[in-house]
Amino acid sequence: MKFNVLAWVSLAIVVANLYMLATSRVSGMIRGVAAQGFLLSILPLLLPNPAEKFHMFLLVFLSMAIKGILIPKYLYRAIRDVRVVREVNPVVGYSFSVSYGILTSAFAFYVLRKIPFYSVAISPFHASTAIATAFIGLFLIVARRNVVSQIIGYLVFENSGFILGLSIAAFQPLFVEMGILLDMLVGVFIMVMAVHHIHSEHDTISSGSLERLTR
Amino acid sequence: MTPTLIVSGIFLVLGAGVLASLALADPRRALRVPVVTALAVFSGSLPLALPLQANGAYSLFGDQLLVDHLSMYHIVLVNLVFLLTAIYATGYFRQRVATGNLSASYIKRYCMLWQAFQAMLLLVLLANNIGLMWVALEATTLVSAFLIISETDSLSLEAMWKYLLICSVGIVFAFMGTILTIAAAKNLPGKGSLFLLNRLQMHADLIDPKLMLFAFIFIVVGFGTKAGLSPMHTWLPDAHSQAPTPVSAVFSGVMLNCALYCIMRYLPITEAALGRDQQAHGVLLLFGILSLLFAAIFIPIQNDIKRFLAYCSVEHMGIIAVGLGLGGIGTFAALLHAANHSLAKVLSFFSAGHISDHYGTRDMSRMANAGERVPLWGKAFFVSILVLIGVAPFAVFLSEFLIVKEAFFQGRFWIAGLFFFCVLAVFFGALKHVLSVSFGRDTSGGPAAPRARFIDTMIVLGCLALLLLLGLWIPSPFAAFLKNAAAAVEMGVRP
Repeated sequence: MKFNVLAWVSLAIVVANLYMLATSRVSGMIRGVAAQGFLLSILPLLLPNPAEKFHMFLLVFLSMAIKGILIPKYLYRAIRDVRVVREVNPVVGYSFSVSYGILTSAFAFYVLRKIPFYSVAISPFHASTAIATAFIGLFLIVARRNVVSQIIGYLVFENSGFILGLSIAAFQPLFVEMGILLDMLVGVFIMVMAVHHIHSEHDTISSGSLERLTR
Repeated sequence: MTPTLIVSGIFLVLGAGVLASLALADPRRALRVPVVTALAVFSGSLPLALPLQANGAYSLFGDQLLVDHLSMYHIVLVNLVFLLTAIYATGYFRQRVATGNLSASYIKRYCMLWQAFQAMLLLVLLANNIGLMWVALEATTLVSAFLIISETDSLSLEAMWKYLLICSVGIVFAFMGTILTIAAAKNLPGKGSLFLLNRLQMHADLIDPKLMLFAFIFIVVGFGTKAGLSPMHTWLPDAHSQAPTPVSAVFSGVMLNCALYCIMRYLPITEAALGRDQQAHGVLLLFGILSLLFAAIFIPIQNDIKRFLAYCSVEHMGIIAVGLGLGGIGTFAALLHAANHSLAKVLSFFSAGHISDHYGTRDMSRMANAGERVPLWGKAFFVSILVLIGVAPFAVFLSEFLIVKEAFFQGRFWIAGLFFFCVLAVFFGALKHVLSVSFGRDTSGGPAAPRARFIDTMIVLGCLALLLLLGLWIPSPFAAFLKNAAAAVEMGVRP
């Protein structure tokens, strides 16, 4: 039973990835990352033998609050303040992005079983979902010009680390996961402060305006 | 005084410093706070070395923190560089505020973040828990990001954005490496946390070797991003060139070393898990040589004086990585190199800051005869670059020589040849720059800079004396200490 739920949740996480690749609206991307945050936060409940009940519930609660509510809300406010609606002129087009997403996800789910850490992961879904998500996160960082979209790419990439951590370090206390949550919150906070600075300086938040330092 | 008390004291002092600079409204007085705390932390941390004589390494706070020769060596280095830079910053920032190049609000932010930055770096060095080490290193990125932008001009914003994003992505790689390490160590006997370095080291032979090598590659890519190893160094020239000089000096002087320190902690564990087949060393060697190649290509074509110094940092991180990758005498040389590089780099950034302020540009082609026009700093710049490129009596020459010798000794002629070629290319590239800046014919005929402060003269003379001393003669207690630190890189922490 648990296994089935896990499979569906993993699938939903991957669908959230694809949705973020396909949408041009920044608010859509934020919705995608919020949904992914919610899905991630229930993952600890699906572990076969959780380390400690108290820590587990704390982690579920914290990650739901931070990844599912706090960070998305904060990002919404940021795009409202700097008045960004959609990604204009992305480095890579949407249909190509989605094809990339489907290909890398398939790669993660089918080919990855050969890599050594498959043997220590709790379930094939965990490790493969993590790798698929990592591919998407890194892709979003380089393929989108809007700095808020880049922050979302970073969040997705960090989510993949979170899943990987859950899947193979589940036999350890989850302190570190909490450290990450904290770091992530502060990191996003600082990045959004930077977005405000960039906006007030350039009147745009396209990273195209940030391409003067080369060599 | 027990070590536990000392360590708590250090963090309390830095925390109090942050609060004090928050409370002080006058920027001139606020600038003194980091000097006082840096002095207290520097002198307070020295007694931590005393118990090392008797038992080699000791842990604190229930094994969460650990002090051994390697960490102590880096702690002294960090505290020394922070002390020198805090003293330098008082004069530098005062001058910039007076000339209107810097707003008073930056001073306050600097004083607060600066001390938090030092506290986080010290936490990285003290951590025995690899999770804690990771969290602290990520925190250094977060607290130092806003030190880069002094004025919200577009270039420093761009530098800060790249620093934040690239280092954050890098640090997620390091996180995956940490998690994979834990996964590889799943079968360790007994109870207790798998996150503890000394425990991992003790049972390293039971760690899954394949997975550990995989984890180590993630670790090197992740922490290497922060350490400025190529090809992950792309944030470094931007951040170093756009940040105010004291910040660049600390970034280059110690932050990069702290990131490399994390890799040094994983190296012996990986080697022990792999049965000492030198594969982990090989990974470091690869990134080291790549960094040297990048530096050799980019140093000769730089025009910006601070970008030139930033690429020098990439080169020196490469040299240290090559030394560590060779092992044996190479490790000793790498550690010796780290201290010399830190001191010389701090000095060269100080000088470059004053010189570029005097000429009103960072473009080296528009600077000439700095030795005459900027009395103290022009000469200090010349000498510190000579130290950095490895001119004979100074210790950088010695460590580079030892590394080449070790490569020959191991029969790795390709490594020795590439290393020699890159160092030589950097030598001539840098010499060209420094000669034109220090002695070139000055056609602009601008005025000479005012005399430097007494304390600045003392800093320059003190640093140069120390660098010369280390080059001519390594005192035997220092050599013994360094040997123990090198043993910690080779064999890991002793439990």
